[in-house]
Amino acid sequence: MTGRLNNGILSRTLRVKKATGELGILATLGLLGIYIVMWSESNLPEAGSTFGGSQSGVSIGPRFFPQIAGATMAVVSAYLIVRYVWRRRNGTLDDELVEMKVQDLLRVLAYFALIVSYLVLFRSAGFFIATTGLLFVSISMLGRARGLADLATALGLSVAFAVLVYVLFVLFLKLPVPDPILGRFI
Amino acid sequence: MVMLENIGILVDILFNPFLMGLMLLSVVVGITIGMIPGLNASVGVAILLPLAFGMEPIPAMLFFFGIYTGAQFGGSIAAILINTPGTTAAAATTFDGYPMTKKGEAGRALGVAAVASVVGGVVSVIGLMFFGPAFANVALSFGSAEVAAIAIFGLSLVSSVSGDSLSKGIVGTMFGVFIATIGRDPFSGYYRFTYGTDLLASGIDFIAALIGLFALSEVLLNVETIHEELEDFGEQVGSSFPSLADIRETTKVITLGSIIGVIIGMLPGSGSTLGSFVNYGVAQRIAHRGKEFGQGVIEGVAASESANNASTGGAMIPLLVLGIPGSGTTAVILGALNILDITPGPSLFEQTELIWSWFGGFFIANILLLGAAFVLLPVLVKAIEIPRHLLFSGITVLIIVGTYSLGNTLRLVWIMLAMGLIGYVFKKFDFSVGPVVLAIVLTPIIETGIRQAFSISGGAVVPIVTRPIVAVVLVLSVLTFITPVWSDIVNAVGRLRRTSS
Repeated sequence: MTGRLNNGILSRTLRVKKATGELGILATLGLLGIYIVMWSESNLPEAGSTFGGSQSGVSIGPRFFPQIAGATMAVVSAYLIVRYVWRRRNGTLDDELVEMKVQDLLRVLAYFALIVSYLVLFRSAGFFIATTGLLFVSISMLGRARGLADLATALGLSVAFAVLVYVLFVLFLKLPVPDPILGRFI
Repeated sequence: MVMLENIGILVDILFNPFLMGLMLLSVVVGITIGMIPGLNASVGVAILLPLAFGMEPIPAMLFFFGIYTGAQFGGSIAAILINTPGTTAAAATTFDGYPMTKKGEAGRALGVAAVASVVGGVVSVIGLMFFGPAFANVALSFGSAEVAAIAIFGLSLVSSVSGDSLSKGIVGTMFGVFIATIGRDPFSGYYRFTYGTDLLASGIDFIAALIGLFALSEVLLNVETIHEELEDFGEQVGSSFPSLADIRETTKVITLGSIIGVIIGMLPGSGSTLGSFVNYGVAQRIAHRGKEFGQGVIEGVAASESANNASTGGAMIPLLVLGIPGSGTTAVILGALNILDITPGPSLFEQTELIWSWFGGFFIANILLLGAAFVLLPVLVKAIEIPRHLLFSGITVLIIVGTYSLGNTLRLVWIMLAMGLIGYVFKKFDFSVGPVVLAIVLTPIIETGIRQAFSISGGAVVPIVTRPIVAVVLVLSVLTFITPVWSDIVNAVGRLRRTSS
């Protein structure tokens, strides 16, 4: 089953034209820019209430910088999008491909989810259990651990590194991390 | 004269075993970080930033200067041995460094790279010692408008030299400006883009943001390519002592690179990458074997490496004098200063012992680099072979726990995580994160400066923009923006004319 997956969907390569990815980012940032301008317009005053505003001269309030940023993002993104489309139509766009295997993409997503789980567990389970768990899964997953020996090595390294980080932060740097287990022993 | 008066501080450091040991350790760690593809000085300092919490200002900054110095050189090791620059600044080193390795001259290339790095680094620290206090004296007369104008100039340079497109740089910069405005407006008390959540009410902590944008994004990129094999590293590095003939052959380009690097390093936003490429180009014209550059010429390696390290001291000048970081790494070092509760600015230079201890330590770090490069190099190069799954798993824990320690809260870690994801997507499609980071750092300086200046002038623009320094710097900023756009416009008009005819 796993072998079939490896040879099938997982080993497929996703190909995105770099320009398409750039267009996506620019469109997102451009829309964000418009949103920033509109949100500032309706939620922030033009002039500051105590400082930075003036009735007689130029008025600079909390709205000014977000609006400058938003408007510039929207205008420059729109300009770049038009330029991309123009170039693509003329065939002068360097349409380099960004390639990524499905399994690589899934690995990044899984790793990100692993970090999120770690943060959720960090306070409730404590530093030692959460960190050892994160390291164990990370080392096993990224190192493609196979068999008991690999898993045992990953576990040993995880426990050792978690203790080392705890000693560094808590004992050496005096920076507290929540931990009901190690705190009792170290 | 001031330099001579403070030479005693340098001697004090030399006879302080703790500081010397700490610097040697930091240089070795820096070299190791720099040589690992995917890590560089900014990422390295970002990962280790929380260590500043437990340290006094002098050892803490000497530690980070050591990392900075070591990582700048470390980047050249992977560039020479496996054709993969550990740092972008070492990209020009691959042109001649790797062909030398293929010819079996890796030790010779590494030796000359070390000498060039050390000479460049030492010259840069002398430049810092000489120009830093002088600029601080001038900056004493600066008001909020001048500081804001210089920060705007820095932002304009960052946008214009970031990556392949000025427009993409501007979009990135403005995205950073937006991020910096999230949170409570310090002047009016209004909350901007917080949506009533505690997560955003105090704004986006810039240290958490830069750890995410620099370090976590790099971890995610490496997780993606974790099973790709790096180029086979079979080269045994024996002696890396350069011969007298090599030194003689490279003296001219090293001297030139040191000067160019210091000058370019001082310009906010330009950084070591630009310095190394500019000097490589200049050296190609003046070197004895300039026409053979790219085929494994020792002068090519020396040209890139000398300018690369010479920019380190120069880049510290705008940071220490005005609190304006000129590069990604100096932005992270500003984060360290922030943790240490030190406000950069001209008045910092009145704390003679502190500032000259930093200069002295920075100088000694460069000397230690030479020793570490020659004695420890055969051992240190093994770091390239550290299994990447162990390395990046460990780094993940360090950056999460480190970010948590910044405020003893998971709020900062969530922000770091979000920034890491944004940084990953940006890097994936060749959007530089440098402008975003620098805009996050510089926007509060610009916004505060401008609003204070307008508050003082009663909203009048003319008295502000006609102040000599403000006027000159703003004109320079406009020119920086317009020059590349102008050439674009001229080219477009030319194309249109040709099409119509």
